[in-house]
Amino acid sequence: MGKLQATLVFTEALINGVLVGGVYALVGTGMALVFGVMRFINLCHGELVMVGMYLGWGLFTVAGVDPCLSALICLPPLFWAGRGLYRLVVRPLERSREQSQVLLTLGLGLVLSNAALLIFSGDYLAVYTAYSDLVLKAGPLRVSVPYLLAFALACVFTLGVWAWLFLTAAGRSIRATAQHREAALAAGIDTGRVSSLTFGLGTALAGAAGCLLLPVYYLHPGIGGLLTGKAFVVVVLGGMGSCVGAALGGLLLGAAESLGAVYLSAAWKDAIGLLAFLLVLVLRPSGLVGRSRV
Amino acid sequence: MLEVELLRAGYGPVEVVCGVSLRVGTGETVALVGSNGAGKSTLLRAVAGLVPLIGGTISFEGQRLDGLPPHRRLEMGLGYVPEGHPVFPFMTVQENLELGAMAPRARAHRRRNLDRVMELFPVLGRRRRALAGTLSGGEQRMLAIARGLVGEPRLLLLDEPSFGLAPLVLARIYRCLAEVGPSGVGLLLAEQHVARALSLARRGYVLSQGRVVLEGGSEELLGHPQVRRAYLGL
Ligand SMILES: Nc1ncnc2c1ncn2[C@@H]1O[C@H](COP(=O)(O)OP(=O)(O)OP(=O)(O)O)[C@@H](O)[C@H]1O
Ligand SMILES: [Mg+2]
Repeated sequence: MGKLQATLVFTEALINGVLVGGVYALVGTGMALVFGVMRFINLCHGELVMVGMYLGWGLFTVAGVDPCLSALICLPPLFWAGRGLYRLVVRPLERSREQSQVLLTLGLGLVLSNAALLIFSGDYLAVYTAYSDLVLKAGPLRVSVPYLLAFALACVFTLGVWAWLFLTAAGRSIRATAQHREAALAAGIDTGRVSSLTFGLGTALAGAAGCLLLPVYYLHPGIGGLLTGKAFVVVVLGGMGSCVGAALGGLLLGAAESLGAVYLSAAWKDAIGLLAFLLVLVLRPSGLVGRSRV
Repeated sequence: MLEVELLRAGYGPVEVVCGVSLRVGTGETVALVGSNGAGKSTLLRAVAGLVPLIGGTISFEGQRLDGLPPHRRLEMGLGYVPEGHPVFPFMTVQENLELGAMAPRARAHRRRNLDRVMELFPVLGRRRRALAGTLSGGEQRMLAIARGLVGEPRLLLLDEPSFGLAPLVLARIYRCLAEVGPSGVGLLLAEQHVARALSLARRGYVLSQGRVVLEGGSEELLGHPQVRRAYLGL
């Protein structure tokens, strides 16, 4: 392999990794928000991403809707589904110990993935759009168009959430609650409503990310657990509950996985993330951007 | 204005406040003193609605508060400043204060109240663009109190405004609190710093192991042999 060739392989792997990482960032942002406000790790976050994937697949298969459009379409129903889920099952456990909430979300994840198995069977599904095989050529570099599109939209969603968090009254009360819950209560913020909003928002973002992941991953009922693991790694890399951190963590995980797949082995791809995760935990236990929250 | 009858509260099965009765009149400053772990914070949290009652009743301006969430109590004019440094560290001083004035009750007087607390604590006005987390401990305490005040309370529950502060800062905060009383805002002041609290308040309650063991005028309490021995080290 010539030197130029080697550089090319590296650059392409890096670009692909960062593109997928953009979607990971969106997945992680949802989990980081929920963790920031509610102080528990939502272990069904990946399964919620999976729900978004099935929605996007269904809309495409039945009505020919492009997954990018589905990412937008599924925001409102998943937002309300998330709020419903919070009201019905998460909230009743609010005053109990945090382990019980973690276990609850683990159970919810099992219910969701088994429901998917029941409805869709264990088949691997994929979405082929007109542009699925399109490649953008920049000199010798080749970049997949669906990846590029997924990345661009994930960035729009992530930046949109940041803007919403910083510019609206509801967003400010979410940030306040994440930064100091008791002070938020003292300032007259209805933290019950904030939690419900946050869980709804986290669910909606998970769903949108699911639609954007359709060009990247085959869809099957077991993918939720894998994605929960990735989301968790992203959130911890970013320093628990920090949105900017989650975005950086997502990009880093994407790049690490992609480079690992090229230079080590594709079979190791999912383990690379965990390795990066351990490395950060050992070297910088507070995450990439410290403790700064939302 | 505030009437607490035989209030019992705690965490899970542990009862920390065991039947406390107290009252605060309109615009009155009242001290709630007691040593570490006496249950002062728990009592204030129960009144503010942050911990559920096990028993007893709380009325504010003639209305029962049972089961009302904290934001509804604030809307009635019952403000609360938690212990420690209860500020939003990654927001500016200005944003912290604005959040305190967001409730419908406070919004109408927002401008005036913001100006007033900046006057009361000039350092907050100077550092309004700084992140609250970068303020010193004393400044964060001032910010928390100021945020309580812009909520337009009729009564403010203050948890240990002196805790962990250098004597000079502490004196400054107490001077400001002395200005709050005459403006018609009632204060219920939980303190370990017994002498300080009783010198500001007209009346006080001494709490020990979740019960009121003494109550009376400040002079009377300061002169009481039990208080002098247990809390003033005399
Ligand atoms: N969140 C909590 N969960 C369980 N027990 C608690 C909690 N907070 C306080 N306690 C217990 O309740 C008792 C009273 O605590 P509280 O904070 O009300 O006392 P305090 O008078 O405010 O003391 P301090 O002067 O230290 O602030 C203590 O024994 C404490 O261990
Ligand atoms: Mg206390």
